[in-house]
Amino acid sequence: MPRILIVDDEPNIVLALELLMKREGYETRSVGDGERAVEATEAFRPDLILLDVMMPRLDGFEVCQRIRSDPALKGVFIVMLTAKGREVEREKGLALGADLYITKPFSTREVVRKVKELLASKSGA
Amino acid sequence: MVAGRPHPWHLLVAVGVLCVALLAGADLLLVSGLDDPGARAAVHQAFGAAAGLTLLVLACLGGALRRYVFRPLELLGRETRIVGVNPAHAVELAPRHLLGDLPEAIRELGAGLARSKSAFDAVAAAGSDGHDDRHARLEAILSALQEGIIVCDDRARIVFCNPAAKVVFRDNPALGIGRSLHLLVAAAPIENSLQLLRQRRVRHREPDEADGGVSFVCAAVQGSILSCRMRLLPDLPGLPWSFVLTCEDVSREADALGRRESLLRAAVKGMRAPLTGLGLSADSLELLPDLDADSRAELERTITRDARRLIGQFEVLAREIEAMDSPRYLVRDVFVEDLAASVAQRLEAQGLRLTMIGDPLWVKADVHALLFLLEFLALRIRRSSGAAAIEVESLLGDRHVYFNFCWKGAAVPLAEIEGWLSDAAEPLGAQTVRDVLERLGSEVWSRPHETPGFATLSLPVPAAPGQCALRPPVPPARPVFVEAPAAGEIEAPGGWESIPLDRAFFVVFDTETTGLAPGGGDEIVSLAGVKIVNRGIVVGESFNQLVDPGRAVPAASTRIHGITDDQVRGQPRIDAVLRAFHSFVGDAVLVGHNAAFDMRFIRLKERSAGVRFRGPLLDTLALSRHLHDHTPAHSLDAVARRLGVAVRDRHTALGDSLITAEVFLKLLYLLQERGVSTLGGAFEVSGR
Repeated sequence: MPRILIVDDEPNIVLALELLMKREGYETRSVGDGERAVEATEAFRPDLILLDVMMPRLDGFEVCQRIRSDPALKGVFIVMLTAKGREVEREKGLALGADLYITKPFSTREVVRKVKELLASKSGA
Repeated sequence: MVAGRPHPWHLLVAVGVLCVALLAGADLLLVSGLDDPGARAAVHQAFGAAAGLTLLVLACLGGALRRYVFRPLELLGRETRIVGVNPAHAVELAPRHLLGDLPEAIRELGAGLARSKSAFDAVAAAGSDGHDDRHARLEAILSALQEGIIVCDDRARIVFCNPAAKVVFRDNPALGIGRSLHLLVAAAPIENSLQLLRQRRVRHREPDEADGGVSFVCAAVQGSILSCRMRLLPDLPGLPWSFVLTCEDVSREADALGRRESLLRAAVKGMRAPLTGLGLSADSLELLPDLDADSRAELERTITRDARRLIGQFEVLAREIEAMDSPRYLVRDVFVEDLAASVAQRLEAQGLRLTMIGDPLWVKADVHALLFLLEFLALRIRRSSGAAAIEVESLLGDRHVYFNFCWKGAAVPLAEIEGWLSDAAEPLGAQTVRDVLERLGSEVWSRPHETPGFATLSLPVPAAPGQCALRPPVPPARPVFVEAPAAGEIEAPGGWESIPLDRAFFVVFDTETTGLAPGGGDEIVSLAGVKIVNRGIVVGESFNQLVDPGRAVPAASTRIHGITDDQVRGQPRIDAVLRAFHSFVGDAVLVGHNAAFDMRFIRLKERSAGVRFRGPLLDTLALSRHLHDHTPAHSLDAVARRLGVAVRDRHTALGDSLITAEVFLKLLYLLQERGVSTLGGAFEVSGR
């Protein structure tokens, strides 16, 4: 069963995403800030992380950079879900190693579809 | 041989008549003393023979004189005139003449003239250098201004325009000295503003405060929007009631403003409905908790639909806000190469070598902010990694230009970069580096380079729209200030024939073609022209355009003019070029060397281009033949050599136009010596 880590400091969003992912049959865990996100990734070893950027203590960009620089955590999909919608910020996210950069407001259906696609590509590859 | 002077022939004829008369007289005298008719007949015969012999001798004498004295004299006269315009001209005569040392003496005179002329030129140049220093400085400053500046006389004819004006008017060929401003902009705003300013001046008497000028926005003939300011100039000698117009192309801003306004309006309009819907749905959920399944499903669908629509409208707004320009006074189009040089120099002074590589690109940014950031980041990179040399590559992305710093070392962790960004940006006032970055619409991040051991740092900056359309800064050409506006009036009282040559406007042109048969499939591949105003070639106003002939360029013709199929590919076709050339020529008289040949090509295309070149056509070949019929050499090379015109870029349309123009100026001078001073006179001589 694929594991999804949800990282966002907005409780409403966390709730909604958890429900959605569980409904798809994924195992989920969620954290509310960047530092705990790195710890959780090491402990939980998710297949995919839904990552918000604007968070206290460590922002999503740094989380992404840290995870990508850790060879032990290779292969994790990172999907940024963020209110930072400027083009330069998207460029930055993708440059730092995110697989997908989705700006808020987003359609939950879209997110579910994209998560499924990414997970399928790994098992197919 | 001017009428009125005693003609040598008259002398010979007079002598002949006198001799015959004398002989006849002697004959009669002798005969009167003789009675014998046989003797009389013999005397008559003798005197008849003597008379005949005398006339024969005189005729031979006349012929010899003509051949060895009079004709060479006439030729010498012409050649001497040529020396007048070209002191270096070598006077040539057939070796057999009786003029003794005269040709040699004239040659020496010419050489002396040439020497004193060059000495005089040197002195004049040195003198005018000092004298014209201030003038030159003023001209240089005017050339460097970014605003278009056009000075017009009281009839709205252009007397001066700076290079920036050409840019503002997008190289419209109708922009030129002596041309009417009305050809370039809509007439109404100009006329209204002029009237306003004149009334003001008349009312106020004192010129100063009242002439603050008038600002207005108007449309150029080409459709661009211009922001203009018009001021009356103080009365200059020869230029009463002249005015100066400064103009700036604000089409981009006007467009952007208009576009944004309509988008925002549409977005707000589009958001009302879904917002209302969602509000109602929320109310429904609150007020009607016991809804049946179908109604509930319906409500859910409505909510979903409205939410989607709302998100869609929001996206539109968000995109537009992101693309919003900073206030104009802060943001300019900046040429990356200029930045690079400046930053590299400052860093050099601090021991850090920065090399910028990549294509020249334009960004839209606050120059100071960008300069500061580039220097700041480079220095921090050095501090963090110890690198002594950094390369910065500029790359063009979708809407940004990326400055990618590259150095030998490790990537900078984001946390460290955040630290940099919270520093104060001292030179830019009370703000942090992060503020500067935000205002620039930028971000910064660092990653390891593909090549192991190297790292990069990226700084995206909004790219200026229309990269290719913007031109790199070109060293300003010297503007031309025509002293008093030549009034190329075709409305001269006696028609165009009476316009003095001194005041007419000319366009000297030349074409290069695929071959010699205008009706037989040959086409123009290059068309160029230069303007002559006030007996001088106007620097900076020329026409030079390659033309796509719509057929292959034969190798034989390429050998002559050097134009290949590759060079004409993608160039405009002759119809468009002719229209532009027609606009460039305006009311001027066309001049060319063997102009009829070039004109034949042009006439064939007049109909399809929708233009007609009226007015007389002057041919320098015919003019040269008329002036110097003692020599058969009238090719452009020969005439140029004879008149002392330097031959450069031969067999290019522009090069030949320039040579022909200089030749024409000298021919005009020679014509005036011969008493031809009007267009009509020149046309008669030119025979076309």
